[in-house]
Amino acid sequence: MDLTENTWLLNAQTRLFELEAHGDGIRAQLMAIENERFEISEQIIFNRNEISRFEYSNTRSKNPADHARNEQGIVNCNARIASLNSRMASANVRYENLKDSSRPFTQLLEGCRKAMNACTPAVI
Amino acid sequence: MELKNIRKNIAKIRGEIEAVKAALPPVAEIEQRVRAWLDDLVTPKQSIVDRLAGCFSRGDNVGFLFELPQRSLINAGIGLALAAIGVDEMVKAAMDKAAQEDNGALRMTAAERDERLTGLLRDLYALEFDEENNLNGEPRRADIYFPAAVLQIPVEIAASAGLLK
Repeated sequence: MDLTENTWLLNAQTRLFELEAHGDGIRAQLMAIENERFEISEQIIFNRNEISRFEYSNTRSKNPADHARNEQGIVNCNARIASLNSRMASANVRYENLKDSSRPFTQLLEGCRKAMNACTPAVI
Repeated sequence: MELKNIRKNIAKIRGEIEAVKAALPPVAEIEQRVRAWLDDLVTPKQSIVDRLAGCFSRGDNVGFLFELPQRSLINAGIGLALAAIGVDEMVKAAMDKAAQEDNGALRMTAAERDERLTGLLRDLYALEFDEENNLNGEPRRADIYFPAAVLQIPVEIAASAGLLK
């Protein structure tokens, strides 16, 4: 294949690479939000476990000071869980918005890949 | 051409493409299909006449019609009713009613439609090709019809790869 005679092919490949790079950027953003959601869910689980631990401690101890400390711990954990849930909801919205807004681009990219595949054998 | 004008033309051509895709066949073509279908429905009449002849010539059971399977009985009933009305009469009545309802819809033969679509799709490809060259930082439309035009693949190459449809 003489590429000098097929400048359009080089041009098309360059354009496709640019689009792929843009697509990679979107995927990276989606992945970052997915990671964020995973970390939030881990923290929620941790706080739930903490609550269970405080509750268990309450059943084992008759010391009012322990009870007071455990109750305060439960209150703190619940407050953290509420805040984490709010962060999770925000991350979910960002994820869905990005996914929706990038859908036309994703479809275009897919179409470009198919077009490139369809045209390349005609040249080689 | 300016991007704004290119996009205006793209919208116009896409409208034409949708109209051509939705074009109805010519009345004569539909009439031919309708007549063929009605003629098929009337066919049982002859087989009933043939079997009735057997009643006269061989003394066959006159009630044979009710011994037919239900599906054949329904077909025979429709066929006889249609034969009584007459296919011509039925087609004429339908066409008269259609003439009253006619909204001037675009009509084309399959060959005309294919030819027109081919031309319009080529025009659209050329416009999307130009559009890509004239973006100058403007965002791309979300509803690109020909991704190959975004890649600036020449129209002849795209056509030979079967992408212009």
